[in-house]
Amino acid sequence: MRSKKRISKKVFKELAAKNVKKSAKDYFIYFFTLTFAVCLFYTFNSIKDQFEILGIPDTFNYLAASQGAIAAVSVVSCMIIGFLVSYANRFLMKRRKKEFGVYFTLGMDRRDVGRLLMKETMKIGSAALLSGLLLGIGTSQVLSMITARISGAGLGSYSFIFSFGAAVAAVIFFGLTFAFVHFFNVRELKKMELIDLLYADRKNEEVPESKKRDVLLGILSILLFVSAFLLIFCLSETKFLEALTAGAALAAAGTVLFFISAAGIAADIMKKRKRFYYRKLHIFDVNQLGSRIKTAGISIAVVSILMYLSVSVMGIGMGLGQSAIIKKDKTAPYDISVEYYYFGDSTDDEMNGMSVLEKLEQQGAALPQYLESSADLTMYEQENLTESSLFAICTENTKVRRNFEDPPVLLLGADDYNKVRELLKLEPITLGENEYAFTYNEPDAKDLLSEYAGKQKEPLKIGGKELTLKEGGIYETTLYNSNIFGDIGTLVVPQKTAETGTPYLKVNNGMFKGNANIAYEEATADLNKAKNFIYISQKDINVEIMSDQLTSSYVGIYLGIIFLVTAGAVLALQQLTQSAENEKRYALLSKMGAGEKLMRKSLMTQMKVYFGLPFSLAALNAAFTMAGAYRNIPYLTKGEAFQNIFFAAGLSIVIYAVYFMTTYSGSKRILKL
Amino acid sequence: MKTILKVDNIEKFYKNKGSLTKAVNHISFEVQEGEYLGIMGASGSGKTTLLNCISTVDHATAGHIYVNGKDVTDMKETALARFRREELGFIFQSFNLLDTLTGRDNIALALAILGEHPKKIDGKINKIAQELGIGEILEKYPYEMSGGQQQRVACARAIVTNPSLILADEPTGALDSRSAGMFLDSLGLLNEERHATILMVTHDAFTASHCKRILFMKDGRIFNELVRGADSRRAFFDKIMQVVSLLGGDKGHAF
Repeated sequence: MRSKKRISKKVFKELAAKNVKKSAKDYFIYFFTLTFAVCLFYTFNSIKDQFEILGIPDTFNYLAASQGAIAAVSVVSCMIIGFLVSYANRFLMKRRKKEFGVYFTLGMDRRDVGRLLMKETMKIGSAALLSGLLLGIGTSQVLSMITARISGAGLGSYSFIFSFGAAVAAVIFFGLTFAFVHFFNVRELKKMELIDLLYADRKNEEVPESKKRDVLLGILSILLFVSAFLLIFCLSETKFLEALTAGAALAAAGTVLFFISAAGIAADIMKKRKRFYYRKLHIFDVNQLGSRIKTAGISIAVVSILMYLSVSVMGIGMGLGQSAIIKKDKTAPYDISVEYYYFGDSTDDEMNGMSVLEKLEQQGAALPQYLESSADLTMYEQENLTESSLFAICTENTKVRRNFEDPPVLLLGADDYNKVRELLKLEPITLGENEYAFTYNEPDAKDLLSEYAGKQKEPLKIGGKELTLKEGGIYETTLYNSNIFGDIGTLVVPQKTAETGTPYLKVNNGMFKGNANIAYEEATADLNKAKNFIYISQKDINVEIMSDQLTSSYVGIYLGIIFLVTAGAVLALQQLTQSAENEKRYALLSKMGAGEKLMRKSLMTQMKVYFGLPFSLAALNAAFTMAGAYRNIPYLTKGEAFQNIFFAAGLSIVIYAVYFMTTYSGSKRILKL
Repeated sequence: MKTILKVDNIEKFYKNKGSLTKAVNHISFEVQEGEYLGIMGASGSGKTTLLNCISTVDHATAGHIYVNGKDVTDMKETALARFRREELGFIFQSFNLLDTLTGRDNIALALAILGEHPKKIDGKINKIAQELGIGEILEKYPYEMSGGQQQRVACARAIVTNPSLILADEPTGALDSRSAGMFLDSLGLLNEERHATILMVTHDAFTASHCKRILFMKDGRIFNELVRGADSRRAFFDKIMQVVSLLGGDKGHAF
């Protein structure tokens, strides 16, 4: 009896190492993509430690939410990378069928080959993990500088960051991803029959042809595109996210149908144009591409969809982020605002007699001691005075108006208003007995109010008095801290007239005395004592707005790049496998007398179409989607919008070009051109 | 003499959209230890299918195949893997060397898979390399070797584990006549000196003339048998050609 020993570990290790080393060039794109994914994972997940080092307070868990969003995106990206890895492995396994056949004939069983594959995956995986982490530690420094800038903490507060948690998470997540991939590999391995492995290259792929079906699907895909864009353009005003998601889904379905049907139709058209068809190697190119796109139609469609999502997500994410940051200085001009809303209970009566600060002191809150200057104001509502009735004569439509039912128009006494102006170091206004003015802070409301000023000739009846609009009486002021621009128009009327209305809201805007950080902390500690009151500090608003911007920009860029590298890697791997299969065909062309230059050109043409087609379609889809989306992202100028779009498009093109060039040189190497 | 291979009433049918192809149709024969058997036939006569069934690459539809007394037709996955590494040596038309490994490592892999003690591996390789005259190319990678050299390395890989049976599928198909001659001499040497039992499938009469016995296949059945006996190779070749012309005659093949 022969020895029953299993194959020694050493042999496995050596074989795996040799396989990886030998096919390092094949694995390069795969490795590169994995490294990139790990790097992104680490970089974006290290923001928690970035926040800590930058010393940004997180009283209301906005930053935690932002981390949560990034963690969720990380899970999605790991899943995408998992798919990519198993896809890449399937491709590589296809290339290695013969090799596996030899292993089997030499007497390895499936478990052995599975183990060999696992060793190889682990080798590449751990190398990618290591280099990705190193790269990530580098890029996370850059990111934390950007975070420092966005958060206004300044570069001074930056110091070297290593996030142990993010590194551990990366190891665990990618470890899990590889475990899953291995599981799929083993399943794939189980399906292999030795006879198919040994005679792998004799099998041809057959594709059923059906011209009628192609044309129908082509028409359907165009209809899907049109309906997607109509949906985005018409519905994104009211339901922004829903319309974008549904539109993207329709466009994605259209893309799939397009690639299933287009290849056949295009190839037929080109075959009919003989003057084109019989020139140079066009016969070869057209048929190669035709059969390629037909067999790999769905995966090319997926690539195109990924790129489309990538550019859109990056562009829109950064737009939303920028839109958020624009508000930063204007929505919270005071160190702190303390709000009291009238609910119709007994406290209301007490409040009528005293200021907000007096009431706070009475309740034992510490805040009043820490305020240097403050402005106490009361806003009133008047029966029958609502936005729709007041602005009925206007056609100008603002986003804010659309979003709310029909809020009352609030009244503010001129004396109270001047207190606010004083606090903001603005000149006080003078208002005649029979005059009124407007204050607003929603930038879009300016048009509405000037239209109103132009059209409204009738005096306004308030509290038994007839008031006319003061000449030039439209002021842009923020009456109290808020996370949004909520004020499209508050009426400033003589103090006595205002007080004829029902009190609606009492606010105290204050500036801190002495050390702002201590005051902020004391105010935060007040929360239990300040019953019935809402504290809105500038610091919290800034953190909230900043975390909004960080979340949408970072999530956009993170997802975008992950989509993009996945798309690039899938295309590159397909093209490389294809080149390996084409070796014989090119050798034959060479024997038929085609020169090297001609063949290189043919390869270039094929690759241009192969990479270009999904890219162009993605670009078209993304352009329409972003155009639709940017119409409904508030406060951005055209220049700012284009800046974001160009950044997203530019980044995509650069990354895509890297994949294109790497693949082209890889193909040239395989085909020995 | 021990019976190494017993093929008992083997059938292999392919069903294809209503048509039934009988690639191997009720074939039975035996191979004794130390025999050098050739199977000849035109393309499509079923010879490779028969070989694939014997080599456990393919599954027979019916019938039994015994190698060294063991029935290979009802073996399970792990038993098959073990059977392949212990009892069989393969030589393919396209060599099928692993191009990530040098010639030496390709041969060593077969021993390593078998679980041979690492210390003994180099000695065994050197011995077989000397016998086959491939000592100088052992450290080269497959793509640095000629086809004939690759096939002789493959031959060394097949024999180094001392298998009960060496199966060769058109081993000279991709070689020029000089390389083919050198390879066949090597194979003959293994048969003479090491008493290796060889089963070779070929459609080439010159290659077949190196065998000691030849089975001719046609349409999935055994059609004729030739034994070389005391004939010179030239005389045996002439006999083979006669049968071949008979085989090809009614099909109109210029063979």
